[in-house]
Parts: sequence; C-alpha cells; structure tokens
Amino acid sequence: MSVKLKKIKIAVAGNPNVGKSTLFNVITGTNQHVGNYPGVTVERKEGKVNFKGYELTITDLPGIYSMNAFSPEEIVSRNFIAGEKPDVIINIVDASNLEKNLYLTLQILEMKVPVVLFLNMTDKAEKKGFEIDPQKLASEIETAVVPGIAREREGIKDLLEKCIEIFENKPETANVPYSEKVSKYIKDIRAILASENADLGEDWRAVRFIEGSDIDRKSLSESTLEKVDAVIRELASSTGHKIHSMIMVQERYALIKNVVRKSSSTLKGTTDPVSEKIDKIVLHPVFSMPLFLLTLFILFQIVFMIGEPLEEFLTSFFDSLGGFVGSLWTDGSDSIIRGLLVEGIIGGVGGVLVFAPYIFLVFIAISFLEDSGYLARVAVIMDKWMSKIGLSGKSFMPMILGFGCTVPAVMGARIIENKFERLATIMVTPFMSCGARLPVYLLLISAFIPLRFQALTLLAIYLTGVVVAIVLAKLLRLTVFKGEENPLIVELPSYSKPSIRSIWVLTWSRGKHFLEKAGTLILFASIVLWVLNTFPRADYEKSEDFSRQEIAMMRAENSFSGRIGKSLEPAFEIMGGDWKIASSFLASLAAKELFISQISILFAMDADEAEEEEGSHLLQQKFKESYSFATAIAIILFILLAAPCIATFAAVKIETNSWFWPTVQYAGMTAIAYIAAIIGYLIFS
Amino acid sequence: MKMLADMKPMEKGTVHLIDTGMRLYNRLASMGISDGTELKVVLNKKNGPIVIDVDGSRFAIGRGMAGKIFVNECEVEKDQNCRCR
Repeated sequence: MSVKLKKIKIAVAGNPNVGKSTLFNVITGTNQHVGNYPGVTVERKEGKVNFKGYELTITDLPGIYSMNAFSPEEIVSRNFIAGEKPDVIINIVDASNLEKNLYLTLQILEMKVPVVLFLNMTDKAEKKGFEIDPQKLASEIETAVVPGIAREREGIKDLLEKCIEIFENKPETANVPYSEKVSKYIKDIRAILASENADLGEDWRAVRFIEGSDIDRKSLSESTLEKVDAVIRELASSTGHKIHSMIMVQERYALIKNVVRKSSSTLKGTTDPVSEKIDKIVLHPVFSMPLFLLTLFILFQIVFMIGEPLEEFLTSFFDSLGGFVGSLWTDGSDSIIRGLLVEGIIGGVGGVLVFAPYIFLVFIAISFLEDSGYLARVAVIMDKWMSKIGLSGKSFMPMILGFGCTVPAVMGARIIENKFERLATIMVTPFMSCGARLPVYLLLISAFIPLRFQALTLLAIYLTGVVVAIVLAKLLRLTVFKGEENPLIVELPSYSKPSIRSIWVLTWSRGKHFLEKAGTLILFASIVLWVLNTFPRADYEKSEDFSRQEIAMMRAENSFSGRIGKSLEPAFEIMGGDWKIASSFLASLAAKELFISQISILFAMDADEAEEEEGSHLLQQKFKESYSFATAIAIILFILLAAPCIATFAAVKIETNSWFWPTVQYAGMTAIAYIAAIIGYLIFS
Repeated sequence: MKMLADMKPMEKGTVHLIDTGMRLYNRLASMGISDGTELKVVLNKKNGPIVIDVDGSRFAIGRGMAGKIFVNECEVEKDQNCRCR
C-alpha cells in the first residue's frame, strides 16, 4: 500500500556566494533537474526529496541581491515568488555578513510570503567574532530563523522541519516594520493600486513604485499613475530625498542596523586574511595577466588532453557499431533501412555523443573556477581589454575555448551575467577557428602554399577569424545588443576549496540537459542531411562499367544535395568554384570536416582513403587541377567564417533559449563568409 | 571629497553621493553600497576596475562607475586604522 505524500513547494532565495547551491545540493542530493526559465537564459534548478512523509519540491532561485526586477535573474525570482506562490521560501543568508544579506530578506518579506531565514556559516561568523542570537533576530523581523552550516549539513533537519511547520500552520505574515511615515505612504499607494486592479493592491508593488522600478507602470492607467506619482512626490519632499530610491534604501538600512544591533554583537566584519593575500598575487598589476593565461592554458590542456582520447574512443565505438549493424545486411546491400540506421541514426547520435566528454569537462572546469572564487577575478583582470570591444571580462574564456571546439565554448558563455554581452559572445565565438576546420586548411595549404609560407598562412587564417570576431562584437554591441548601461559591479567572494561533490552534481545535471536537448535536434538534422545526400536513389548497381567510387560519385551528383549544389553553382562561379564546392559546403554545415569527405566522393575517390596519406596527396592533386590559388583562398575563408556545425546550432538554441538567434547566426555568418570569399578571390586572382 | 576613481589603495572613506540613475543606485544599495557606507580601496590601477572593501566584502567596480561615486576620505592614523567623521 502506498501512502500519498503531502506535497510542499519550496524556493531557495539568497545573495550570490552565501552557500545557496551548497544548501540546495545538501537537501536534494543528486535528484536534480536543470532547465531554463521560459524565454530567458536563466538556469532553473529543481530537486525533489522525501522528508517525514512529505514530498518537498525545491527550486533553487538564481543568486540575487535584490527583487528590483532589473536583471533577468531578479525578474525570474520575483515572478516565481509572486506567480508560482511557493508554500515556503528559504532565504539563506551569510551570518558573517548579515547587514548586506538582510536587504534582500526585507524585500522578500515585503511580498508577504512565508519565509524561513537560514542563518548559514555561523562558524565563519563566530571566527570573525560576530555572534548572532537567532531567537532575537527572529522576533525582530517576525520571521522563523534556523542557524546552521550547510557545508557540514548542520541545521538542515531543523530547517526542513520548520518548513513543514510553516506549511501546516500557515502563520500570519507580518508587515515589515518600517517607520510609521513610510508605512503610511506604502498603504496609501497600495490603496490607489488596488482601486485600479484588486490584484495589484500589494505592499511590495507599492514599494517598487517608491523605488522607481517602472516594470509595473505599463499596466496602469494614466490617472492612477498620476495619483501614485503625486503621493511619491509628497513622500519625497517630506523626507528630503531627491532620488526616490533613496527613501527605501535609507529606510531598509536603518531598520537593518537596528535589527542587527539588537540581535548580535556589533563587531565589524573583516576580510578573510587568506583571500586578501591570494588577491595580492591574483590581482597584481603585472602578474595577474600571465597568471590568468597560465591558468587557462593548464585548464584547457587538461580538458582537451582527457577529452580527445574519449572523443576518439566514442568515434571508433560508433564506427564499429555502425559496422556491426551494417554487417547484418549482406555485403554491398543497398537497403534504405541499413543506410538510415548506419549513416543517419548511428552517425547522427554518435555525432552528438562524441561531444559529450568535452561538454562535461568544460562544465567541470567552469564549476571549478566558479566554486574556487577565481572566476569573479577573471572579470576584473580582463575587463579593461574586453570592454573595449563591448564584451565582458568573462567573454575571454569561452572565446579561447572556441579554438578547440565551438560547442563547449558556447555553453561556457553562460558565465557572463549581462544578457547582451552574453549574446554578443555567443554570436562571435564560432569565428574562433575550431579544431574541425583545421584538416580543411591543411589540405588546401599543402596543395597551394609553398612550404615556407605554410605556417604563416595558417596563423593568418586564425587571426582573420579573431579580427572578424572582434569587429563583429563591437558592431553588435553598438547596434542590436546596445542594451542599457551596464557598468561592472561584481562581488569578489572569499576563495574556498571547491567541493568535488557539488561540482559533479552540477556538471552532471547541466550535461544531461544538453544531451537531452541537443540530442533530439541533432538526430533530426542528421536524418535530414542523410536524406538529402541519399535520395533520389538511382540504380547504377547493375552496371558493370563503373567502379565503386564512380558509382558513389554519380549517386552524390544525382542526390538532392548534388542537385542543390548544381543549382547553387552560379553563386560559386564568381570565386572560381563549381557545383562540387557548393555541394561540399552544404555537407560542411553538418560538421566542417565533412567538407573533405564530400569533395573526395565528388572527385570519385574513396572518402576513407582521403584521410590517409596517399589519398590526401591524390586529393591535393585533384584540387590543383580543378581550382586556382585564389579559389583555394576563397574556400578557406568560407570554411573559416560560414555557419558553424549543427551541434553549435543546437548549443546556441539551448543557450539563448530561442530559435531566432541560432538562425540569425547561421544566415549572418554564411552571408559574411560568402562576401569575404568573393573579396578574397578578387584580391588573389 | 573626491571620486572613488581617484582614491589610492589603502585609503578609506565614507560614501557621500552616488550620482547615477535609480537603477544603478538600487543595484549598489542592494550590494551594501549607499550613502554613508564606509569603504576601503584595495586596488586601483591606472585603468581597469577598482577593488574596494565594504565591511569585509570585496567588490570590483568599473572605472566609469567609480567616477560617479563621491567619497569623503578619512584621516589615516599611523596604525592604518581610521575614524570617519
């Protein structure tokens, strides 16, 4: 017999760097799900746990300093609390930094929702000589308070019991004890709002009007707005503050100071001395940059060192799986099902899974940097340079990662807080030439460039990508991603030893999210590309006059992609190309390295042989015979700048949470590549 | 009184005026930086962000922003501790 559990919806809210994720991990364990909030790129983390006959669904809200709805994280948090109405909100605060943390607490309490204050890191506070009396604090802010240390699992049981108690008893939520004057004005504004729409008659909405958060203004009529503004003007003149926001800020800090004074010893906070020493080196005017570059180098070295053999293993695994499935048919069988299974599905799914090791490793690296506290410093070290091109100091890392593989680089851009900086970074990252493009460059360079200029040419190719990325980033930030002024203000948390467990839990749920989302999209795209390359099928098999390679070539020519290539031929003739080039570009949209296998098929060569030394020489020979030096330059530019692979498309789709941006990126990059290829051809011909 | 951007490392002071729009004012306030806040400059290079210490928390503030925060500096006593008026 199964007992039906009572369900409680709990949200965890708090400032960044107060141990919120640690608390969430400790409560939910590995039973987590990572997703996105609809329409925005804010990560949504949810977990479930059964406790004393209750099923607790816990949502980890993003780390925020306020509920002012200025950033996507704040909007998401506010909408969640106001809209989804969780049964209990756990507000986690850093006991060693109570004053700053209580600012958010007051804003949550203004929303009249059931709150438990979790007083975290009481050990750290005590070390600083800062003692807090939880009972006194609870009575001062009229809210349940549970002290504890999330990292050590102290106080967790009490916290959950308190949540259940609040859920069962539903105690009245008190008004935030602001001064009489301000309370009266809040009440007045609330009444005006309620007269327009009963749903708007809430304290926190009234407070947001005083603060000048204009998000609610659009929903109000002119006359109501005028009335509200008149009341706020009256309040402003009676308090003598010119900036309205100052009224609530001063009010809150006055209240907080009073609460803290009454419930704790009043010792001032001091910086963690170890962090101070580390910062002396990490933020050193001269050493900070080389140290940062060295850290990145080592980290990426590890990522690609471990990732490459895993990728190779997975590649050969899927190759032999394909071989095995293929062998179920008689040799040389022409079955469509065999083709679909081997080339379409196994090839497609394999195409996603070979990326998985990199995705996981990059997430581990990012979590490591985040947890240790170093990532916040990266913004400080690189901001000076990156802000010149309109990007964040944190954009540097994903862009460097792009030289390895664009997919994890795009995923890595999620560390950038500002929406516009993040979007701009995602849009330009594919211009950082990834590893898959290298074989194409090498083939063309060795065919057309004299040996002593080969290395230089390769360098020039990579630099071209970087320059295009920089110019485009600047342009995007000046136009589409203009955004509001977003000066750098970032907290530098104390350094701490990253917890392996929390890194793993987060990496696993983030990676799983990618594989689920990207898997279906890439599988679909692979099947589409397979259909384009396979149909319509002409029957050349019976003819004895042609070799296997020639048959493959004729098939490719007759297929949809061959036909599309032929119809696109005029577009590529201006750069000295032909339908073979057009069709191979089409194939390279799936993955850049496929350019080589497609063109070798079209040259009636064995695609597998093209990768061997002898085949490669033959292919170079064919290139030299068919195309000019200028065309080779055009091809290189096109491969460098055109739409990235399908997996990148999927990654951008997931990270921007929209179809629009990856589509624009694909079309825009291809347009840029096409123009650059023509210019390149004209210059060198 | 001087701009935060002009303060030297180890200098202390109290925030006198923050000359920004409501959005930034609220953002700074929620992080614990508002009128009357005591702060200490930890790092200030010729360019790049300025690092300050507020009550044990460290913040990096962009140079542009630091030009809009005006601070009353304190007299530094010999033992590096200062009293702000």
